[in-house]
Amino acid sequence: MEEENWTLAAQESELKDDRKAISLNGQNILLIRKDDEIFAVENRCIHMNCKFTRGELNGYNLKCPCHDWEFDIRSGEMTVASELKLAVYPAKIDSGTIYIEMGD
Amino acid sequence: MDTEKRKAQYREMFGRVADALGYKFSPDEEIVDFILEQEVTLEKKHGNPFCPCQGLKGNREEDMKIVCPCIPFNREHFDAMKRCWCGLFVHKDVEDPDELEQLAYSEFNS
Ligand code: FES
Repeated sequence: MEEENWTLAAQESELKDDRKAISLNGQNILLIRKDDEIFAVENRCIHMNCKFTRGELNGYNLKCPCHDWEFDIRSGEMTVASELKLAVYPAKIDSGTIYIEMGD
Repeated sequence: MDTEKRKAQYREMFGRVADALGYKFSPDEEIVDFILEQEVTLEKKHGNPFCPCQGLKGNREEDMKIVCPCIPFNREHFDAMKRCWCGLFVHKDVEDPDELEQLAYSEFNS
């Protein structure tokens, strides 16, 4: 069984409008809480590097504020071209603390 | 905005997107440089590097679909031509872009 490697990312109370942009291990990550679930996605658009922090969320689709490219926050895939992918990280909330798994 | 610097940034950013979609910059370097230059001009004017070969419609939803590289929004049409509308990007296996033909959207769709 693979060993899990959770890293403390933020406190749930620090989320503002269900979001928080963080930097962890040199990666810009956006935490998004939706319906009591937490998602962690790369906070840099694959198109022209814009941040998603203020991007609109429609269902699970996060729209980049720069040119409206949309990505599914569960898979990181662009809605119209699945080959274009943002990094997504497993995330969980445990007693008000948000953890993410960064991998190796 | 420094035009040459911006063109170099486009090459890096757009190249990454095109590569994931099976495309590369055209081997015709003169065309690539010319189109990227047009895009810098459009970005200076409109704030976005729109495709210089397509007309702006004046509504955000449609216009955002022609920000370069517009391959994701025109996939089937471009795949049929093995190039994007401008010829800035071609399929990775294309060596001679002059052999490729533009196919009007109406023809492709008929
Ligand atoms: S930078 Fe995100 S859609 Fe262009």
